[in-house]
Amino acid sequence: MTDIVVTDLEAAVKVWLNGHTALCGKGKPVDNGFLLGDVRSPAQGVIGSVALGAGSVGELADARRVVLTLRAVGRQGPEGKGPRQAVMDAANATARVFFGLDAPVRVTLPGGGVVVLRYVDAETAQGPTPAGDLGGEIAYTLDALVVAQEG
Amino acid sequence: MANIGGRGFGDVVLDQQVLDALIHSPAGPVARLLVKVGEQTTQEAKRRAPVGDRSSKTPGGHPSGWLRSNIGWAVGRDGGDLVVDIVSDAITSQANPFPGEPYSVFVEEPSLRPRGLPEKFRKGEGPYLRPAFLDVIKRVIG
Repeated sequence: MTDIVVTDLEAAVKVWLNGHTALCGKGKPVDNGFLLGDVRSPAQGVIGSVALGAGSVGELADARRVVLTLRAVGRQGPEGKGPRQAVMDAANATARVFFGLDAPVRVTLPGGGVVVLRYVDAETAQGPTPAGDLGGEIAYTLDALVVAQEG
Repeated sequence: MANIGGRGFGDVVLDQQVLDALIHSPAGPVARLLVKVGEQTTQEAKRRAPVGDRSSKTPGGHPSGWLRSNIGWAVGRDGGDLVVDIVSDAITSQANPFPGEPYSVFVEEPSLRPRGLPEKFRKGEGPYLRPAFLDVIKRVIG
């Protein structure tokens, strides 16, 4: 009987991005880091979310489109940067990290599993693109096909 | 990828990944068209939304232009399809005898008001979202 292997790709991307100290953390472009699913921005700081995109899985079994969305509301940081500027900066910084994944990275998940993020298919990269301006909350999104495997 | 045989034109190769990026990516070409529609409709609806002569003087009342400042847009997903929501979520203020009612809907469609509205408050009522959307669609898609 064939074993079914489930790769928690979203969680692995989230853990990997949150581990970039130049990208996530206080005073960094994505102050509040990345979470799974659809999140609302807090009063202060940019927040990111990670979700699987729609569409086929393609020819590679463990390749899925991963969608990252950055959001902020209100003025940000000591210099009072507008939310649009803060989110654009965060989206550009995220794109440089995310689209730049071209060598395997082993990610240990909080639950104990290991996922290897092999690479981001740069030819499938889209964005950053505006994704909303609702109630003062600005959103930008970017996505690409991520190829991964169970560690 | 799928190869579809042709006659005299060679093979047509469909790259599913490229199609996915085109159709499903929230940052892809279809999504960017929705962004354009969302942004332009929002601005057009703001221009069309009625604005009161002055801010409410009652504590808890809305400032002038409340409806206009509560129109926005967001690209999202409905099942597998990309959509753009153009939203006007202004509700009646605490100073209103009936707080929390969907004021933005009532201005768009006055016949939905459960209790009618005195004549002096009816100035500028009427659709602002749907005409804005139709104008933008005509402009963007033709």
